Amino acid sequence: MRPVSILVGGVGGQGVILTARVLAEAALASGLEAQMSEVHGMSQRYGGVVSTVRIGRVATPLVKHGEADAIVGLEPLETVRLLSWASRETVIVTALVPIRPLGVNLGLEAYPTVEDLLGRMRERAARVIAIDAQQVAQSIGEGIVANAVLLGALQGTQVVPIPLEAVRASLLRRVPSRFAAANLEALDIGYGVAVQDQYSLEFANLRR
Amino acid sequence: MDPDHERILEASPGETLLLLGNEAIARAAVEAGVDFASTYPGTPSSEIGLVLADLAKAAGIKFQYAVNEKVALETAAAAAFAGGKALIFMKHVGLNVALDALMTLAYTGVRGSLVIVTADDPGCHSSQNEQDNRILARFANVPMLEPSSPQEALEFTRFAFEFSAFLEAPVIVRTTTRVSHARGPVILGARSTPRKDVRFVPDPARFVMIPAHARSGHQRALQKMRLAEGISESSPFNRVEPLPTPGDTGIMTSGPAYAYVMEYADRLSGSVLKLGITNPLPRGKIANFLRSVRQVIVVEELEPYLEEFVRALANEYGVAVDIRGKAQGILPRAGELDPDLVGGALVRMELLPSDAVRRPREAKRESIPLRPPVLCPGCGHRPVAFAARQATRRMDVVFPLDIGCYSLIEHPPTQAGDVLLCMGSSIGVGAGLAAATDQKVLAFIGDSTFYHAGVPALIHAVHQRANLTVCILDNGTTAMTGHQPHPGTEEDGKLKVDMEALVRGCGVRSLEVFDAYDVRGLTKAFRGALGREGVNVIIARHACRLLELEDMRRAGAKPPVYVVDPKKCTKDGFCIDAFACPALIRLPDESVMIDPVLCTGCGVCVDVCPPKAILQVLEVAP
Repeated sequence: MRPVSILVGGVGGQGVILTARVLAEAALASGLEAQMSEVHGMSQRYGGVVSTVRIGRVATPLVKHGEADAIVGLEPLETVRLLSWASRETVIVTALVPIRPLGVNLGLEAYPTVEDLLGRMRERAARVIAIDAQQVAQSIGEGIVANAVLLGALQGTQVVPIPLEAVRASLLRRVPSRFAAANLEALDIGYGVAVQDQYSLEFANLRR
Repeated sequence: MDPDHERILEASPGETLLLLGNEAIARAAVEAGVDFASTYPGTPSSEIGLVLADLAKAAGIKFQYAVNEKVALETAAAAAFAGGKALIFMKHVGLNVALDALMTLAYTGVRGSLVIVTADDPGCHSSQNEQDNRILARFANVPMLEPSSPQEALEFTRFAFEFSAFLEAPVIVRTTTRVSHARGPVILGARSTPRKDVRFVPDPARFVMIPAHARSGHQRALQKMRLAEGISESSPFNRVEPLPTPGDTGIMTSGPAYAYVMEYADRLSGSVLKLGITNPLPRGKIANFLRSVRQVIVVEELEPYLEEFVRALANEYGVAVDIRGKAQGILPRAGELDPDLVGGALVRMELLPSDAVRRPREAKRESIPLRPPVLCPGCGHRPVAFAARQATRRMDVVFPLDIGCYSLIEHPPTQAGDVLLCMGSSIGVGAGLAAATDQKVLAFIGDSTFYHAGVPALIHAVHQRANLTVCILDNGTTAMTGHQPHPGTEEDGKLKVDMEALVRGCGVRSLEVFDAYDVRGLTKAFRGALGREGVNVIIARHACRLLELEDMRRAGAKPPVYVVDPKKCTKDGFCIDAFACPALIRLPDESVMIDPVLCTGCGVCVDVCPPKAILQVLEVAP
């Protein structure tokens, strides 16, 4: 099996490491090898955080620039920060709600428009699935399950060679039981969004 | 016990767990049957302690958070003097603090076993420097192992206990951030149980390092290193790995740099000398390797430690081999390595085809706002820095700063940090500035850092009659590394060392204590203290908000809710420009709103806002 490399990025406190860990543990439970890198310490306090997951037999959990198969962004600016790992074969799954960095809040820098950020992603990746994961999560009734929406969408892209069932089980092991049902629903909705996006892509290609 | 920690303790031999390098080291301690473990928390080593502290009781390990790394090493060494198995771990700079003990510990050796884990931080992810502690191991004449992965972290640490017991010497295991914080599959070994019957038997010639004994101690340390070299020669941890294609190039490497080389293994030719025991290095094995190839590439992170050794060895043995490394600039000496850097170097050396490393247009960095870490909403450090800035407007004040979350007050908007060196340096530097200049000095130090290394400096400042104000930011915990306790923390089975009594005991006469949220009180206190002579200490105390919120959640309580009254908000943005809590959001019309998700209800902004536009919501309509 060719190894698959995934980057998960976001803001410290959003659950970047947890999201990556769900994937890595799901891979291991499906009989695959997996490695991941984590960031701890100071950078976790609302700073930009990235965690890498590599599935398959690899020497290091670190991913070379231009060689990510997928990028999962829990915040759009942080997704763009990871674009140097993307190539024209990369699939991006990104959330849309901005979290403003300190410099932006102080008026020292401007936060780009979400349209601008999405444009940069589309320019450098094969495919961008943008989901208002927070909105979906709130519609389920638990804002906390936004990451599960994105994880579901990632599964829906079929880039990650793990059965959805394994991700489901791995997610359930990592989240508090009172959020179990909401997380599963979020995972399914995200999965559906990606599959639908795939259909519309194929449909567009057919018409071309 | 945390369920993950329970699995680390209880999982059976042969089972595979997805572990952090640090968790693998904690498991190694369990497998080795450690009697005693100690640390002072520091990234990237902290998770070893978070796991061991939690499982210590069930595993029968005596675990202590020490006041600093020197004391941690002395206590662990004592356990090993008495025949126990002891483990101590810390971040790279922690070994500087413990170095005084380590240098002589090499002379005394131990009776049981003593393993010292140093977690280095190339790239300064969470540190004030990126020193390469392989050099300290050689300097101290202490054997050292260097794992490349979580699996090796387990195996090497477990072996380190046997190595130490065999040599009767301390043994260092050196990880880096990319080993400590890598998570990978780890196959577990069998557990053994602690001994519990350790007892100190005097042997003055060995343990009392007066000059007469120290001279022979030095000889013994060198003898042990010769013995260790024999093991380094025969150990499979130092091994030649043939690459898929034969060739006359040899690559020497250790630690995570080995993994970066192996990332390209299927396209490389020749062989790799993978070094796992990097002190003492296996001279014979390396000499044979040098003879077997035409050119040698040394791929290592930070200092040219292997490279300089191998150049000297080739010279000594008269091996005519072309050695390439940092001297030729193939890799940087500063900063962290990664697969791209190593791949690029191998391409430049023409060992890899140029398409092995993608350097597409995409490699350029996007120009977007940075996102540095910030203090949490509700953090007690923010109002202290704000008050200090308010109190010292138009005043010539220097702010020495120290190590902890509060190092972040150096960022805008407070920018209350002028000098930061190492643990405890704020008070020493402050005393020096007071002696050398006429400037006013306000030093910031956290509670854990104060106990760790601030106390001797405070005694010095008092004794020297320094005109110095010291603000101790007391949140009751070692927050940045994961909320570990310290001597001033209330804890079951431990005696709390009272901070006020300690400060007074250092000879301080002017001591005031404020709630860290009391912006007005602190502003007045800073102003008053900076106008007085001598050492003034102001303790700004408020529990870490993260822990307070956890307590509230457990008690079923909700933090208070605050809103901005739009009629009163003057839109001058002072609250954001001067205080910058992440929960204060500037709206397009320049007015301010409080983000209800981010706000933790500390209420400090009520006192920060000049027109008093922030109000507590006393009752939310259903």
